[in-house]
Amino acid sequence: MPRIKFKLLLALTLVAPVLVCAQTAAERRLQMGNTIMQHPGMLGALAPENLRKERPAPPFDLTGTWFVDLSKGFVNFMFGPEYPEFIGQAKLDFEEGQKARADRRPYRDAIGQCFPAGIPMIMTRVWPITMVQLPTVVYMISNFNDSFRQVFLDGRDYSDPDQVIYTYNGESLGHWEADTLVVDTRYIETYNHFIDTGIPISEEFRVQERIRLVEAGEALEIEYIMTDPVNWIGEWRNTKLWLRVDNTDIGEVECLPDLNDNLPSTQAGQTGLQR
Amino acid sequence: MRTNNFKRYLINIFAFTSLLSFPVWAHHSTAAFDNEKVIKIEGTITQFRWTNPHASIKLDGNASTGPDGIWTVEMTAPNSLMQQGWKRTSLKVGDRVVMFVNPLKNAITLNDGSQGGLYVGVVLADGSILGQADGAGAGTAN
Repeated sequence: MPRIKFKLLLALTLVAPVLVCAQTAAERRLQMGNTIMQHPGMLGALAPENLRKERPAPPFDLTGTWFVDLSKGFVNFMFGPEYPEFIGQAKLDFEEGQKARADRRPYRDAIGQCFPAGIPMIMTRVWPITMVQLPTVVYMISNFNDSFRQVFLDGRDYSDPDQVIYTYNGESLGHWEADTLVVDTRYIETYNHFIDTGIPISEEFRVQERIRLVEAGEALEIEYIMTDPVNWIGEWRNTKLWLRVDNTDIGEVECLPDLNDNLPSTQAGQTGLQR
Repeated sequence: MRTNNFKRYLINIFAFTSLLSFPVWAHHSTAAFDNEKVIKIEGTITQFRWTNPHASIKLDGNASTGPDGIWTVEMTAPNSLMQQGWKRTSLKVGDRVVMFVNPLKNAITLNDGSQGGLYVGVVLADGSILGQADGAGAGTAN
């Protein structure tokens, strides 16, 4: 009797994987149901069917590694001056930040506390940015904490505002206008997310980036047009350059929980942060 | 004579602008440090972290200004330090060194009870020098 049981068990062990394999990948995906997040009725950017769709050839390819051009001064990582006219609390925060800067005091050093730099500051961190352009999407990875952006080019709409998860780099959609890639970003997380010297943003914050390849592809120019009717009047404009850097790659950078145990400046730089 | 002065002026301008354009890969401002003061600390390495986005050093020693004991020294990213000659093996626990740092502008005692400074230069155990070790200079970490 035990011998028969053993044979039955052995047979099941051998047959079970065959039964599983008999299911198609589609069936197994279906079986996993909601475990796999899905865009309702829409292909992902890397779906072969989406990538294969016929589209006009793009005017340029951003694929490469880039480094913000600070050759005219280190302070060019900032997006001002020129600054717009700040209003409300932002006006007070801006004045406080400028005063702290003049006194060489840290103020709202959220990035030093491991909060993500977020758009637009992530673009001008003093680290390389790798970009990979596909027909449906541009992936941008700043080496600074390997912060990830994706700019969808496949004609999709923004996420449902009732469901979207606000993030520090926001949701970016791009389209081509002649020789310019126009990228519009919204749904940007506001918590401890500041521009330059502690300038706050609201949920109304929007960024448009007008991207061009210049200098025969050796430089990347991005004009920033930023609006936030809660915090400033009109458009805040600034144009930045990045240089192609072919002799480097990005690597792994992590803001570990105990990083700041070893950094005196970040322990001194918590003034003005949101709690 | 005037030509020599002019040459020196040009060299200084070049040196200054080179410093400004030196690649620095790290993650925040150095506003907290007083880059016009340099403290000399003679001591023993208790920790050396060769990691992104910042390397860092702890040493136990005697400071020319400020309390003796453990000092935590903030550095820039290894990618930048390598261009100054630093290696992962440049320091090990137990090494006797002379460290030069910019102190915090408003000195605080750090969470682990240590004092804080920004790396400017070091005389290693074998007598070799990395960075600026003449009692002057401004560190960089951002």
